[in-house]
Amino acid sequence: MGEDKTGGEEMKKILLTVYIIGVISAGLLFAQGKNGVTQTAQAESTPVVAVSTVTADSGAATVESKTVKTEIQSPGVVTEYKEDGTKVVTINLSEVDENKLPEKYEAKVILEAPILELDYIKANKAKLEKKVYFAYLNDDDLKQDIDVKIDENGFIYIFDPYMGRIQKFNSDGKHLIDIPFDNTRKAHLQGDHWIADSMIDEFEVYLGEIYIINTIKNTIEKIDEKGRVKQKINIPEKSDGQSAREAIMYIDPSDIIKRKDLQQNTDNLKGSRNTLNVMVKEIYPTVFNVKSESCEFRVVQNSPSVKSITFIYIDRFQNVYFKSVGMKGNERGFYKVSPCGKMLGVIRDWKYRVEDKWRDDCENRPEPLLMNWQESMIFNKDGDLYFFENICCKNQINCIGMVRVLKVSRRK
Amino acid sequence: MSISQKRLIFFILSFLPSLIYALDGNAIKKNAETYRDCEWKCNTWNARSENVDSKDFEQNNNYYPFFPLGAAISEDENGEIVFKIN
Repeated sequence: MGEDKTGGEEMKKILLTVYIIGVISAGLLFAQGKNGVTQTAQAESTPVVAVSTVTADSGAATVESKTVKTEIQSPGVVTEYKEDGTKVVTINLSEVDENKLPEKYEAKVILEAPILELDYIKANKAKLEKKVYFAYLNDDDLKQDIDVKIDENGFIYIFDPYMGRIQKFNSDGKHLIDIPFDNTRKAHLQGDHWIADSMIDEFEVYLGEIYIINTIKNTIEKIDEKGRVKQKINIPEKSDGQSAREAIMYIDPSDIIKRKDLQQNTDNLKGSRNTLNVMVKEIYPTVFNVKSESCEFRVVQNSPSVKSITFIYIDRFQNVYFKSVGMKGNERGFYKVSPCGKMLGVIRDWKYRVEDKWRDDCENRPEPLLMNWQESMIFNKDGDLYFFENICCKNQINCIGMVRVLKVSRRK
Repeated sequence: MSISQKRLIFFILSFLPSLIYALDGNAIKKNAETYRDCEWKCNTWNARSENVDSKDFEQNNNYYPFFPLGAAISEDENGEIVFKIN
């Protein structure tokens, strides 16, 4: 009898356990079955990130004192001197005529070099010696992209990862040296794809120093022009409260380099970066305050169809460059303003992309070499604007495209 | 507990995980079938955020060239912005 009772309780316990496992299993089954595909679909899409513009001191834009003197600089550009001593430069981008501004610009191609398949390069080393070219590897799971930087001295650096080098050019596109780096890649196979464990895929040039960045291993190395590692920089565990190693997307390696150099080399920074002597502050998307060593003024863009202008760059003469976001051609371009508020010139960047004379041999417009046009247009310290383009290579086997560099500089 | 009861429980517990995974795979496949013939369209929800902009195309991500309707995609020979219209 007692034995029967014990056996019955044991049976109850076992059945209860089976029941609980069954319920949990059914729950898991339901959850996975229902959401499996949906989750995959969500992973494919990218969430839309809302972008807002910070408008600091927006009230100040509306409170203005009385104008005591008005001066027309050129069509569409008016300077107003206010009673309180401030100066306001009002630009109507729809009315600005670049031909009536003091500076005119001209463009020339300073570099054209093929992007060749790596296998072809390996098989034709002798033939390619002393030629400028870049390498590409088809169907590479661990894709590495060409990147470009211009340093404070005007040298151009082009990241050529498949060749394990950074090519250095002068400001007129003459090849100077190859800076080698160890591009040994480590990866493991996951299904049909290779997943990188170690790969140098970014670089920075800052205050004449070259930094190579392994975004997979999260390391930065400073190298000299012979490729020797001079210093290793640890990426901090935390960046702005975020765990740096877990969320590399929150880290800008160049920011870490700059912060580090700011701490260690402040004197050097002061000596070589006079751009720090100019402050540009956004008051409103179409209103900026500029404070240089000699002057202080406000830039106001008042063409109704132009929604915003963006501060882009300050050159070594303390000229300030803005870019407009407009719909029409006569509203679009880079606007150069002197440190005391004189409108100097407009570079209609779109002309160098759409005009027939800049089409490639296949009659196509140039494509940006980097991810987009914004990244592929870079100013140097003299205010020259470089377009880094990808064009076709016609009738050339084992060539997937050409790197073309267009330099737009002030006409003398 | 009898031997037969113990065997039954043993088999249930042994096969339960494989049943879960087998059904899981089938469920995924069944769900996938309904999506197989769907026409995928780029819209403001699934596009890269930089490709959604309707004012400027210069920041577009050319590595992922998919644009929703109304997005700025290019410029014409007069420098006017061209939008995605179909």
